[in-house]
Amino acid sequence: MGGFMLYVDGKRRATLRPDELLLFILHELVEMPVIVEADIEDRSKGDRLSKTIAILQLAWFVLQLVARYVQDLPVTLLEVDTLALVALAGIAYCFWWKKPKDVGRPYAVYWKTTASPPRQLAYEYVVNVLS
Amino acid sequence: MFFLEIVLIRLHPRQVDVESPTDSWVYFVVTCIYPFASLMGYRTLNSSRAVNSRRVPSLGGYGENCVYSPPYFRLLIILLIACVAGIAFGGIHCLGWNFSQGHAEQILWRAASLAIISAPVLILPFWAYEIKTDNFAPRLADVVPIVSIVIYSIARVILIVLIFMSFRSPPPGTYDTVAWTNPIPHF
Repeated sequence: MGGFMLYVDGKRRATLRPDELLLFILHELVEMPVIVEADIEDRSKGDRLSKTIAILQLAWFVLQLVARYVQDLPVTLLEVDTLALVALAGIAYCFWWKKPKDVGRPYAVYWKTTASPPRQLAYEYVVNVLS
Repeated sequence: MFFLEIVLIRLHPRQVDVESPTDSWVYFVVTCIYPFASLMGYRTLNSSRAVNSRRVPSLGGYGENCVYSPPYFRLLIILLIACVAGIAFGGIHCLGWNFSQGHAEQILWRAASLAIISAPVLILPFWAYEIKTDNFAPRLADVVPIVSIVIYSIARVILIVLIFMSFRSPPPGTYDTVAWTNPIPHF
């Protein structure tokens, strides 16, 4: 997800956290972004097809495993382990179902020039050990 | 992971220009465990690369201050999802309870499956209490969840090793396909 990018004097500063954005809006330092659900879905890039293919493959695996069990064919431990991973993938897919895929551009939020800009934003902090 | 988080935060307070000891072994360890700490979703730890490219951190930050719901509520939900997923993971491994393999292997498989089920069961109340009381100070009771995590990891490795060991003598008919799947085109 691209998030909300704060622009100060035409230059980009950092991505805003939800509480920061809300604070700036309440103090009327930035404009309230108007976004409808269709705008967010429009950012997603061809995800429905890839999700459908992945789910078909998972369903095919589970179906085959059940069929093997019904027909008394041996089931290997590797298949049991894969079934467990399929269950975890199912949980992850449920929670990320509506997340747009591969959003490249953030939503621009412009600082009103009358007030002085914030000194430091949360996402400007760096874990120095990785620099 | 709470413990690791406490270590991370104590080592690196949230300032931009903190000098870090690059020659110490702590530096190496922290660099290795850093992705896991944010993967667990407890804290957003920004890498300098993410800040330079102005990216939103893809993981973590669920415990940050927010007006819509209190942080402990979201942390509890994350903990619950993780523990339920872990229990389901171990439960499905219990389907291999009676698989034909060596006696020692069978006992090991059962023990590892039960360990994977029981570790989240032990972790859940301890960390739920820590989140609810908002007290992450190290205590003696922290030993239980940390040992559970270690046992869970060892059990997972044992399961993977047992899977590969079962390839030595696969049951006859492993390569037989289900009768009705042949006419249907598939990957």
